[in-house]
Amino acid sequence: MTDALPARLDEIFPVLPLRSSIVFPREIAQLILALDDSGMLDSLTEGDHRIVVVGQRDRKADNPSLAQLYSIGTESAVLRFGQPLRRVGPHVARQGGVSAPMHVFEEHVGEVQIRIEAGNLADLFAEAGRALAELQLDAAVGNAPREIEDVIVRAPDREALLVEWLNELIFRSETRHCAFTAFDVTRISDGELQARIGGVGVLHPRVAVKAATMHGLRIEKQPGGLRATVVLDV
Amino acid sequence: MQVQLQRTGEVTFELSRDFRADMRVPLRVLADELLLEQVTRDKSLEQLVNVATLPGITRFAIGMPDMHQGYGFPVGGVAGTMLPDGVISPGGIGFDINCGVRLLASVLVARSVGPLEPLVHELSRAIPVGYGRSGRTVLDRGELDRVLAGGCTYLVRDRKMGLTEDLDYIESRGTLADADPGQLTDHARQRGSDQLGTLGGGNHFIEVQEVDQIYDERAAAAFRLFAGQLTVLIHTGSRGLGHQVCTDHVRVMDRALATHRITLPDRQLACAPFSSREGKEYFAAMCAAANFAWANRQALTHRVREVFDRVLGAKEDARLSVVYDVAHNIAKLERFGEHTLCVHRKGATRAFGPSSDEIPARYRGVGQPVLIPGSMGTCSFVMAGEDASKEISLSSSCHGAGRAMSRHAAKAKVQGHVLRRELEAKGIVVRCPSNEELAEEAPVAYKDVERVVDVVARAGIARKVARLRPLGVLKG
Repeated sequence: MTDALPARLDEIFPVLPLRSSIVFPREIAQLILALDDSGMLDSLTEGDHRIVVVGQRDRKADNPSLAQLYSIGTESAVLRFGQPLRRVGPHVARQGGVSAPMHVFEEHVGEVQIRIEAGNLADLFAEAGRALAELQLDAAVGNAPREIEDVIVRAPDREALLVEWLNELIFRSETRHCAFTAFDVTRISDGELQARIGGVGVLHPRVAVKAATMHGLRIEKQPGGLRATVVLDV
Repeated sequence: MQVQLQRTGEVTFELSRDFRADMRVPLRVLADELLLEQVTRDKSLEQLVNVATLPGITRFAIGMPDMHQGYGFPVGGVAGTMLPDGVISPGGIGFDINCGVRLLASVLVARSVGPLEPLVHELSRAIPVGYGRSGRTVLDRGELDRVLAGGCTYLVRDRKMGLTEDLDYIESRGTLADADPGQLTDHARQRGSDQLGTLGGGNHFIEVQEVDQIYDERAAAAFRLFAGQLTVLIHTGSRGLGHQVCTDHVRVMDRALATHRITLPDRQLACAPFSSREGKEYFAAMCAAANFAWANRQALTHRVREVFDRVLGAKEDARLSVVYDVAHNIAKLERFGEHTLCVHRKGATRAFGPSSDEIPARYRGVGQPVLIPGSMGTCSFVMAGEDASKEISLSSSCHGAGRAMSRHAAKAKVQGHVLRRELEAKGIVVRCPSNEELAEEAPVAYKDVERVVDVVARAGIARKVARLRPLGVLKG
């Protein structure tokens, strides 16, 4: 056994580096990926969806070379792609004139302020959940998926409903020791949301989110959809 | 929003209530020029103006020298509302109800103990850190109710987790009698059931320190502090249980605003008259969460003592006594002349003076210990409250250095692994789950604690007693 991956392995398989987890043979793992313009997403979605997942020696490295990875990885197959957690860049992506879901973390001295944009209310709320997950998780993690849970929250208006939704996710994350990363909003109005959510186990969340607040809370119409601002206490 | 404050004293600045039509009282901000300039970079003054609109607020909306932008109230904000009908606002206390600090003193000279690595390492093994982490103790419903109702008293008397004399040196003796566990939701109970004796994440920490400098020998002697002494500072709060209590009651009060004909500039200031059903229920729940927080710091004290016994050999001189324990996110009912006020302290602590009968008998004539932690790797301070604080700041002081930079900006400026090496080069033993979290709490992200403390002293709120230098940090 050598202490390095085979040279030019990445010419045969897309190699997906993992910062803080291991995927074992015969395991089904849900991975949250922070992808930029490296072309990794294209590599994963093309071809037969076969990849090699392998841990990186330095968790801080953003685009590690093969030499910066451990020498043993796992040949895997991508079974399903989820929604992107984050789109990098200042502009809202558009899909046929409708805002694609996105979020950005804005400057706040003491807490975390999130701006969320989406084409409709259901996507806006799902994206808010993904923003919360991004705070709680490392950029890339892999864990066995948890059971799917059903959520119903109610509030007198849609701004308060967003806070209720996030606070319910925070409560469930803390008591189940997981982060919710998959959202299917099955029904939504200004006063009620029903959703099915799925998460991954987390032993040590990256950011300790205490609660969603009503400070500066807004949901506004914008060309192509909706924009929300919410501040989280961390 | 452009806010022009008028200087009314050496370190006192005020803003007339005429500044905005909905203000009920003026602002008072305690700062020097540099701290005031830092305050104007964020939205804390705008938030303090919003606080000045609360129904029933009296005297001033007060900003401490460590004030920075929060949500609803600024962090470092103080407001007193007149009872019976002045409001109580959960947002004026914050999500981490009774987040606070406790100082423990040994009779050991730090330098005589030898390398502190084993001690800090054992502390990191004994104490669960991080958000959502469970403790060794899982409380059933009955036990949780007894913690919520009895706070430190229950832990010390019934669970034998501490010394009876500990209770004498904790604000309110670690138990608020107005607590009603029945006001907590199942959500709050679930979040708290396995979190007693855990540190939590964010800026929570346990620090092993050395008394680096004594400024007031008489007060230091009363507080049982001496130069070179080994001390431990614990910073934590009511964990997820307290967060949920705030969440639950902000919701209730937000929905009752119209009933009470209250309009607010910020929904996070949601409030209700103290005398109303919503006000009474929140206060009873807040008191229960505060008791949980005090019990949490008591449980951690118990663990720290066990580690000291184990590592330092259960020597009598390794025994740790409680110097004091202060809350810095809480509402208290306090007498001011003929009136009772509900004093909201959000990122601020009590600073009762020498004549107060609410401080331990040993400290009367000296003043209440005011504990002011610095940022990670910098010194902390022990001060003694002055009687003048009653008029100046509703008997309140700052609670720390105060953030000057967002976590994001701190991470952009500081590399965690470099900071770790710098701290270690200073002889500080560091235990922190990740370099990223270390960077978020870097000293550069905070105001200069020495300057903040200096303003507190110049304002006449409290005087400096001792400075504590960090030797080991266990970060949440």
